[in-house]
Amino acid sequence: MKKERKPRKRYLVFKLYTIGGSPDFETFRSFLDDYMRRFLGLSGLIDSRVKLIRYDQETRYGIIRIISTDIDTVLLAFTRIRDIKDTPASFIPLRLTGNLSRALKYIKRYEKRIQ
Amino acid sequence: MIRWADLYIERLDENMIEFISRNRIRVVGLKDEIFDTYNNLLRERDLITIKRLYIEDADQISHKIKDLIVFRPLDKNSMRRGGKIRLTFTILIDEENYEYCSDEQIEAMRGGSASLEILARPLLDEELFPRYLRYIKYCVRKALINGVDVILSSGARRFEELFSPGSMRLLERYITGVRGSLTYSWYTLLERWNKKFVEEMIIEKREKT
Repeated sequence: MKKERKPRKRYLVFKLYTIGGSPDFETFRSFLDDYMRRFLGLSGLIDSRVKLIRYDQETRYGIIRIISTDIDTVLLAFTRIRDIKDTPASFIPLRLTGNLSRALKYIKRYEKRIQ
Repeated sequence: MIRWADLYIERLDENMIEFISRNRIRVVGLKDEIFDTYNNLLRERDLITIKRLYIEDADQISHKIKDLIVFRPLDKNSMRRGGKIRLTFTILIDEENYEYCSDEQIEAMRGGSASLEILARPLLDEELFPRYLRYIKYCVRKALINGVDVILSSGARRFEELFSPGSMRLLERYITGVRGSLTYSWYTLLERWNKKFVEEMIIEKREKT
């Protein structure tokens, strides 16, 4: 019998590239909820436990929490994001980490590059 | 070494140029029709450009052509014939011909030296998405087992159709089930097509860093 893998939290560091204005945290979170519900369906959404942890409107860097068992499907969903509330946007995945502190470390490093 | 290249773009606008130069994209393949218009503009932004010659008839594929050919077959027989040609070029799989990529096609390609170039653009179409993904997943896995090279391209015509390097890798991971199986295929293909060009590109990159 195949051993079932224990679900573990993973953190995806991303950058949002938009033409025009950047959405705020609340707008992006509500968009992500709607989008994931549409892509995965209600039952899929329960298992995936996708959560927007951090998003900076100015630098456009953010962190999303996902669960390791559904990683491929959820990541595929992210690659198809093309607009956020009628604003053309591109979702750029940068890093996938095992803990939040490391994800934050990467974000700090990326933000430093902008400054 | 090319870690990722979004080769083959059908049309370009200002937003796309901005996106390409801000992201870690180094090599851009441009359709022959738009090559002359955008080549200098992209080169100014430290991008390497490759002219992609777009052909729809297998009889036109010739060793005399020095550009990297994109062959887009419109019927099953033409696709089979293209697969048997011993020349470095790519067979384009998009929304029009994805259904022809079957076991027989992969079998035919084992004898030739063409690579499969899968377009990611149709994945953005809500209606086409599930069917296209199912077909290319099967096709890519079959091709990799049989030693046929597979590469991924955006084939973008506007900003919304561009895939970032990270998105391409995620797509690759979903399609093949493993990481890094397609990422380096572009490098292999370019090297096979024009080894001198790749060597010059590496030297150019080293000088910059």
